[in-house]
Amino acid sequence: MDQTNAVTDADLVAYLDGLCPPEMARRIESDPSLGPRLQALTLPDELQAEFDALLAQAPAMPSMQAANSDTAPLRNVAALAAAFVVGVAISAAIFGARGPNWVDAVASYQALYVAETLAGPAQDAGRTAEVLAQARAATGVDMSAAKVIEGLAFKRAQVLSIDGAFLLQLAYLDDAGRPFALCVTPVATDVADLATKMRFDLAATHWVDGGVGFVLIGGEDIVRVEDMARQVRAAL
Amino acid sequence: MAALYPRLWRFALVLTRDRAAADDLAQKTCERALSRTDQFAEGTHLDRWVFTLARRIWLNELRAGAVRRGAGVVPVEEIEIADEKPDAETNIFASEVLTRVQALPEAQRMAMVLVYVEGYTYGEVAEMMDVPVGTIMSRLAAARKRVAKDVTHGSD
Repeated sequence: MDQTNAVTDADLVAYLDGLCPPEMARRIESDPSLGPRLQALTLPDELQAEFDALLAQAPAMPSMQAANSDTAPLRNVAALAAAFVVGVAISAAIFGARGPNWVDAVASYQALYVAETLAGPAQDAGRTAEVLAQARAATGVDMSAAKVIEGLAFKRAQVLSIDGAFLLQLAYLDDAGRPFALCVTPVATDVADLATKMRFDLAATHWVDGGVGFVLIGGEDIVRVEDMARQVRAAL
Repeated sequence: MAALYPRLWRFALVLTRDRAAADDLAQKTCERALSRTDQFAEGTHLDRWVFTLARRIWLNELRAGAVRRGAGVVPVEEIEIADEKPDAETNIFASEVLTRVQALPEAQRMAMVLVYVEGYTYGEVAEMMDVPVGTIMSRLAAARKRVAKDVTHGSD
């Protein structure tokens, strides 16, 4: 037998995995002397089942602090959060976020927030002004008036990005410590009236004016959020 | 397909062979993943990236531990701390199959679990472990032999 052509363990593994070329498979099957080696390489049938049983023992995913980077791509964070909870398939609804689904991307990101995420004093005023100036350059909208929303304490303004487009996030806490956010990003639509619904267990109202999309989200009271949204829209 | 967090935890359990360490590693990996979304390129596979991240975090911890114990700096691939056979008290699995897998050296254990439990291809695992496909094949062969049906105690 030609030594350089001897059947290797790697060949046998590929064969056992159904991945070896047909000629090699024929060779292996027609050589009874390979029997003991194949036997020695054969895994127990219950391997997969034993490992799958471990999944049920996994603890619940601990709650995470949201990413705090000024430039975190929002869709990635949202996608990650969703993927950890619902499975690996990252839905087109999140990645295809330039259409109406950008609101869901924002909502799934906001779902990560807790009171502690925004604990402490409000952001330095100079930094807020910087961020709002960037937002104005990117969207044409001056968002300063939106720092004041009845019932909410403004905490910080952040630059994020969705699908490569600029996203402004203004973060607030209400009197009960519930996190709220107002997000602003250029969108493809020109105008859309207020639309309110629950997303990821949060009340969210979104609208579009002059090609710029807005979403106000937080808490579970859809009447309240829609009222706030109406106020904000009027003030801008 | 199962949700990612239980799979990540299971993977952490295979890596660390200790439930408390697994809980810890899974959480650390999530936090690291959430803070590094800029490293996750659209179109690449989230799950593979997360598993690779978990393994890297764990190997760094092992290496730091080895350095503290005076073993000096060794290439990550040569860390054979995992070679020490766990004694009966630290066996965390009731089943014999799981115990045998747990007893494998780290590189073989990883290859085995990534291919035969998580279902990745040889090529995908080669990429995740940053070694040639041939290396994955030899690790699979070695792992199979140790975990195989009629392995007898004291062999190898």
